[in-house]
Amino acid sequence: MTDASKSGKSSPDDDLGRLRRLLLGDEAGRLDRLDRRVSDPGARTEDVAEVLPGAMNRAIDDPVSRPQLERPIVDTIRSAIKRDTESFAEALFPVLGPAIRRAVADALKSLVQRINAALEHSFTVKGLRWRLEAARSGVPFAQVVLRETMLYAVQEVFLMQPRSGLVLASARRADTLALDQDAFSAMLTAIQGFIQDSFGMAADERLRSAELGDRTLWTISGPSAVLACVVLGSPPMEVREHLMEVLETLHGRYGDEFEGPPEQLTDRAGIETMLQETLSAEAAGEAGAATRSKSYLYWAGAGAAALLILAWALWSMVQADRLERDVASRFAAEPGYVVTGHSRNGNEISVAGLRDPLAVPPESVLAAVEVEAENVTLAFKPYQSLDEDIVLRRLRTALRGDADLELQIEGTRLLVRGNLTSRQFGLLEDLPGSHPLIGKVDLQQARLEAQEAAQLAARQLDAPASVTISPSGDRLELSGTASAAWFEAAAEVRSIAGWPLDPAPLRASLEGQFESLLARMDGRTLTFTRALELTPASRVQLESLAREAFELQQLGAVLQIPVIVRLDGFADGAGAAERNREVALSRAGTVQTALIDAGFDADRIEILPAHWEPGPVDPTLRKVVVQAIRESRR
Amino acid sequence: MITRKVCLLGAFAVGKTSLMRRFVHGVFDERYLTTLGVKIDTKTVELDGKAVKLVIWDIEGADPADREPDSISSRMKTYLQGADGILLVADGTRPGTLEVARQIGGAFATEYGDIPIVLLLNKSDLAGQWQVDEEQLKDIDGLTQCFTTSALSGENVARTFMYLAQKIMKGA
Repeated sequence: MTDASKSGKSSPDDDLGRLRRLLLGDEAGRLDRLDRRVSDPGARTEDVAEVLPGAMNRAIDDPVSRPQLERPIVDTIRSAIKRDTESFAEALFPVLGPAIRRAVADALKSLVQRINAALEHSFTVKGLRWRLEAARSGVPFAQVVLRETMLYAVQEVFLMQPRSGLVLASARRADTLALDQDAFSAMLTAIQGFIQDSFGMAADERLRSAELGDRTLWTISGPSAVLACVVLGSPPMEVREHLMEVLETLHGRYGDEFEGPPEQLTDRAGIETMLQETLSAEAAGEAGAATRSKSYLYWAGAGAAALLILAWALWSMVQADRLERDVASRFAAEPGYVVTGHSRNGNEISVAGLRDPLAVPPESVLAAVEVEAENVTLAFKPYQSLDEDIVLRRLRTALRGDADLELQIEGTRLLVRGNLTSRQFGLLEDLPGSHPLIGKVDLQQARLEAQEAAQLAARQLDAPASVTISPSGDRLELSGTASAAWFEAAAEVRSIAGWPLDPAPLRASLEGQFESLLARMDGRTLTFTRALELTPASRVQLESLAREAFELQQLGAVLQIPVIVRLDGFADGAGAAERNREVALSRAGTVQTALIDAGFDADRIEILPAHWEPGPVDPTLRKVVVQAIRESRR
Repeated sequence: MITRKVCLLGAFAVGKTSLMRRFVHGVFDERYLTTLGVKIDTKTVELDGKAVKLVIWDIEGADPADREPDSISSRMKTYLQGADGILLVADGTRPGTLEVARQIGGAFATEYGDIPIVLLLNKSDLAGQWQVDEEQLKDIDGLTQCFTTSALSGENVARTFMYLAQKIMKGA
């Protein structure tokens, strides 16, 4: 106890208390209450609990404050797990089961997909190629399949110090072969340095990417760290942009730690989780399928268009060919044209050949085909056609014939119908032999003018001057006299130049001639000398008699009147009877011989029995008497 | 895992690549192949129960004739960025290589400050032909320690690397 308390005097504390009360009045009481509240842990806890949720929410929303909030929480949880692993295991048990099951299911799904891809390609040419590739490179087949079936995959990511090349953190896909990340990033940094030094580049100008085979190396530089990524395939630029965002976020959260020793990073696990999330990939089978199905559509569309164009081109070509053939065949079919060749250049058609000047104009031929005349080039040389139409056209032109003159060709025979002038007739008569096609001209149905027909008949029948051929009504009448032979030949011709021949007048004349000859011959006497020779006068007579006999026989044949000549020989009675008979027969034989020699038919000569009279010699009986008779009178 | 960057520097043909191969792979190759640019390899060692991965940069040899005294080429500077430790290599049979090491060490100390630098006098298997005395070693600035090594026999190679690793880790 102090002296002051012993003496009852107030202590300095009491004095101070009084002084405080004097100076502060009621404030002193309020301060005491505040002091008690601050000193009381229970009250303080209540106060903090009141503002803590709001403060936490604000901190989480603030990108700067959030890492500061997360770090102690993570550290606390980590140390708590270390300290009391059992409790955490129990607490996490309900969560771990489903999480593990889901992870296993995802891994199995991925494995199954890969096995499917491997199986799908196992027995294909591509699969064999991949197996060879796997055997050659020593890379597992599954990995080769993965590499080949991926559109792209970010396989490995390093966060490294730009100066030392030491790795701060990294992540890689489970299906990627592990490489010495530290050696790799150191070498990458060395290469960066080498390039910068070689090209005199500034420190912030850095290698952005390098490619080797199907792998691309990206380096994304930040102020304190570089993100290096090994990418398989062809990633879209969005992937790089995403990696840049990740690097920015990493700098925002951990940038001040990046320059220190790598092992001193406070949240390596958090960094690696972020890096792990960048290991994106896109399988060719998925994106590829969509692209493929789209590309199939494009290809199908393009193919259809190409087919349409091809079909149209083919159709156009076929049409053009057809038109070319049409034009050529039209000309070939047209009389007076000969096509020697035709061709086509695009729509331009060329036809070459021969054309008869009497053929129809080419324009008329083309008019029958649906073709533009300007698209057709014709090269025809003139020639003379033997087409029937053209031959007839040419004949008609040459004959200058009337419209009613009909001309027709049958084989090599020209048939003529209608009225003709003698000039036309002459032309037509001269045609056989001079025309290459016409061998014969049939003028039976053609008709000449009367006088011209008569003259023509005289020419054609080679009528002797004694024969007159003259029109009579609608006939040509033959009259006058003619030899039997001529009449026989002329009687065969029924008509000439459309005119029937009428030989009746000539026949009547011949009958008269026959009768006259018959009368003149019959009873003719030929005298002989004693020496069995014809007298000189009778010798002359016998010559004419023989000719007349032949002529008579000819006329008889034409007129169908058979003639018989009988020879009656006489003797003068001198000498023996036998001698007379022999002489008489001998004289008849002389005449018989002369007649036969002149052409008379021997069968139609009869020798009568010898005539002689016994008695005085009669020189007038040295003769032969000729009898000319119709056979019917025999 | 802890990773640290270590650079091997020195004149041509002092045995930098052979030392790295000996340390990392435990082999030696008689053939000399000049290094162009840089070769990188890694080796994980255990220090005080911790695994430390050394990322070793074997940088091409410096040519004393082409170099300006007491400077480092820009390309070498690029390679040296972020290094945690330096192994300076010289050939005990060629005094000129020690001079190159001295220049590089001096320039490095000026440029990068207190980073451990260990000198390796290589080719101790040829000690009979050495032309270097201890006096010459005193002139090198910033030198943390000096070892005589042989990539051929492996003498002191692992020890030197381990020493540097320890120095790096203590400084960290």
